[in-house]
Amino acid sequence: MSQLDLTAQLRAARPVVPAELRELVASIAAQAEPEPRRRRTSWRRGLLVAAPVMAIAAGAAILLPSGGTRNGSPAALEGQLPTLAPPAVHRVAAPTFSASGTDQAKASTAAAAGSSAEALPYNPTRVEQINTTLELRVKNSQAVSDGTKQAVAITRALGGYASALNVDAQQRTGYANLVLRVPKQNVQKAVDRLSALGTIIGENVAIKDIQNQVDATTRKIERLVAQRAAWEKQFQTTETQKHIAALTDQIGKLRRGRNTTVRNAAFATVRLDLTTREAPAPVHHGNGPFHNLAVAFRMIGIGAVYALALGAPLLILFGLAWLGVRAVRRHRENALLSRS
Amino acid sequence: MDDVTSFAEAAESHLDDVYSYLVWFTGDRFAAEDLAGETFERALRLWHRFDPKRGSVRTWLCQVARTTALDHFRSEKRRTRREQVAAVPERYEERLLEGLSPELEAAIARLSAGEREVIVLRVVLDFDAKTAAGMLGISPTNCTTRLNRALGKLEEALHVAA
Repeated sequence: MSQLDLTAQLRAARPVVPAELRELVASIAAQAEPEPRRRRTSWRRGLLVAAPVMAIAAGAAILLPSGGTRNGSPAALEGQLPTLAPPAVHRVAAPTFSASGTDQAKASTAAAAGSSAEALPYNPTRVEQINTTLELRVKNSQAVSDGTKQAVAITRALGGYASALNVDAQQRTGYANLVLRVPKQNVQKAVDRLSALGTIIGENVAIKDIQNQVDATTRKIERLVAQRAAWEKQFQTTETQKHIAALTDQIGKLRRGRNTTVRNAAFATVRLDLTTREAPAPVHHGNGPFHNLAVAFRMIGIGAVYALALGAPLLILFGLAWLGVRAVRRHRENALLSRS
Repeated sequence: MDDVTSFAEAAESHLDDVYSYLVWFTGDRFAAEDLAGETFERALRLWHRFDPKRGSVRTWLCQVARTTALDHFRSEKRRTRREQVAAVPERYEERLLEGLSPELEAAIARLSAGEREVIVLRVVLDFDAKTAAGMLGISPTNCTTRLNRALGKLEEALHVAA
């Protein structure tokens, strides 16, 4: 018998299903049947799950601050703090001054923008030390040179003088540091005029009342003068004359010191800085609209590398285990079927 | 790929194939009857998992039948071992298949279940090599080799008997 005849005979000899079995299967099939599931997983379903997950992850990454650096990292905090706007593009007629009637120095740093011009609140009847700092930005080194000349001219016109000058206007950028002494009754005018030389990028006024200090010195002098008069009334010996000479010397020193203080207080010190340097641009520490998205992608990338590094060996192990289990199962199955 | 609309339709259409498969696979008509009923009960429970895109309903039903038959073989093996009874097959006392010569039927009885299975899948039910190999969990080449070996055994047995 050829193999063709054999297969034909085998095909022809199909067992007939018993009627009981047919009825049994019909009764089974008559039960409520669940609908066949078309496809348990598909790329559409995967996308349906993956898309919201990715959207939530990306949204969280954008909305939440970048991880880890929020708590106390100066860099992160710096990025979150409002950046101070570069000072003043407008010119201010005069800086804001804070009054002081006490011995303590009180300083006022006025942001140039929006400063209202107020009169210098010094008291002409008291002895006060006035220190003003004015920082101006000018266009170029030529403007630095011109501004320096004008500042000196203004100071002289108001009865003052330049006590120190440090000018560098040789290169493209330049600067000038001037220490100007202006009669304190004219310091308001001086500040007004000097402010017009450039764009104010900083200013500071400090007024220190030294009237009490001067008064104390005066009282001390008066006491010493009284002591000296008492010594002079005594019988003059070499010893008494030494005391009188020492007191006279001390009184002289105190008077000179007091006079110097009062004389210096008659002039206000105006420190004027002219510069062509731009104010440093505010540094944004990655606070752009897509910064956190970039952080999210970076974290995803890091996670992927970790997953790859840790997951690949595990996957290989699982794969080998699966292959082993399958081989054992097939071997047992073959053994089972070879005996049956 | 057949177009299946309901389980009842599938059961009615493929009962003959499933029963033939089980008769060949087990070599026992009575066991095949029991297993066929069990197969369709199991298939009804698993019907929601059937995916037409992954294969025909006939293939799927035969796979369910195969799983059921393998469970039967395992339980029989355990029972035989437990009872310590030598496996003396009584299943061929009655005729397994109608229309076969006694020599051929005897030759079939001497085949292993695995050999009978590949014959019923490839020859009787006419599955292609790829589908049959997928059901058996082997490669198509291995399936063809196994089929040729089984048919060769039958031929040899018939030649000897002649």
